[in-house]
Amino acid sequence: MDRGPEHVVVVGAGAAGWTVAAELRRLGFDRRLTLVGGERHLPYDRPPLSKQILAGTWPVERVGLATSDELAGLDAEVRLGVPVRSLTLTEGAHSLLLADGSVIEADEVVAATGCTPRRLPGTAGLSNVVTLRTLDDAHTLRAALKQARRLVVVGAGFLGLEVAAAARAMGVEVDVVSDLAPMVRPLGSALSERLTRLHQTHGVPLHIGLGVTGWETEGRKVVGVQSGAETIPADLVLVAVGAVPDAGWLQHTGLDLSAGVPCDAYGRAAPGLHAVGDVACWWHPRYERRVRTEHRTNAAEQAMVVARDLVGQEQDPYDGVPFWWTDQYDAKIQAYGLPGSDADEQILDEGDEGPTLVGYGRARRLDGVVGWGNIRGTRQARQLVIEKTPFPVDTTDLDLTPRRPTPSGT
Amino acid sequence: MAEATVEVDVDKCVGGGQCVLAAPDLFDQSDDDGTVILLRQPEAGEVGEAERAARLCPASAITVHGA
Repeated sequence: MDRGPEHVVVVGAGAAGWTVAAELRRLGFDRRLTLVGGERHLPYDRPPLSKQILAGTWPVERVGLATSDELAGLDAEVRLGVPVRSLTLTEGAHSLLLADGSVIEADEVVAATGCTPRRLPGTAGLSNVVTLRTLDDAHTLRAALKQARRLVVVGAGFLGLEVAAAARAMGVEVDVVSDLAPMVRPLGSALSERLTRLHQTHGVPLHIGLGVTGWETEGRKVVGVQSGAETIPADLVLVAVGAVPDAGWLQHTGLDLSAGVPCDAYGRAAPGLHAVGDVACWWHPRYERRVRTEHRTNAAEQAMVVARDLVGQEQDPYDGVPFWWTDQYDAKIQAYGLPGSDADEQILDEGDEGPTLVGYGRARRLDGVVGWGNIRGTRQARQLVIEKTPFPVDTTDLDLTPRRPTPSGT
Repeated sequence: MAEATVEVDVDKCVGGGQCVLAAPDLFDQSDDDGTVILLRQPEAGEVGEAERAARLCPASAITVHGA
């Protein structure tokens, strides 16, 4: 290879960082490569943490993205368990300071540091208020749930609701406290209402509107979560109110980090600096604005684009259709594109328990679709999103499963 | 080098269909639950496509051996 960097440092060893490193080698990059990770664990997948790992249905090895042999096979300098402190951009040789005081110099840096859970004021020092982001967090939460009788989940997004479902399966009483209705921002009102019914059916009261207004404590423990006039008893509290990009170490770069690391459609943030995954806010040609998504598929797709860019391979700008999913109880919800409460909703299909397929339109274009257990419809609708179909959708173009009569036997 | 073989873990699969979008000749989805169906093993010229599907799988449910 005649051109390309002398030394690439990938900061962050989650799905995004691991994929950049692995893909660089696959593309033939044979120069110096360093992978730095803030956690001591080998690279692993986060989506199962709030699902199978919390429920205890998977052994921990199943979330591994790479074995120690595969990591060794990368022929990289691997620094796990060492958080990054700061990056100084200097033309030709960037300087990266790590928490153990060591300094790494490189001509290309990839920021893949992900996010940190947002915390609530007044919770510092409280022993039974936890967040969930890492494998260690998941083990802590699972152990606590085994002892707990009453969990209060603060926040009604993906993470909070998945944990609520997993905790119910463990026999724990669960309440959800949130200022917003369940996943209303990504789902809009029709599916949010169906989600509300799902959780109520499973015995989870939802306290919506005010969020947490105070904590009732005994010593260092929360015993009650206050939401307006209500006090909900708790012996364990999960705060799941979103996450903030872990970009503080880039503060000396002069970039505006208020919405993540701003990048072009190839993940370039500055000369010699790319960003990828949850921490990155990429220009998205499809939506003609910068988009930051905290989803697993996006991390891998962007990582492949960044690796190609680092070795100087010609490619089209990243224009992928975002995908995410959530599993709650037996419900499987899948989303393509950018559904959201800011878009117009169109119910494309429904069943006995509510909508099973919803389209989301902005400026007369189908920007996103969400399916709830509707495999056949979701497959067709995702293709319409890819093709930027006009909105509202002509549903006669969809070949949907006819409503089945209630089965009389099995 | 041995021929590449693809292995799918249906239990891990979340039915997102990213593999079908990346390599429609190799993967399909079940009509019942959307989980992955491996249609056939990749031919020599299709290994890159299979690897791409494996990388894009959000559930890490696809492994390409011997590539």
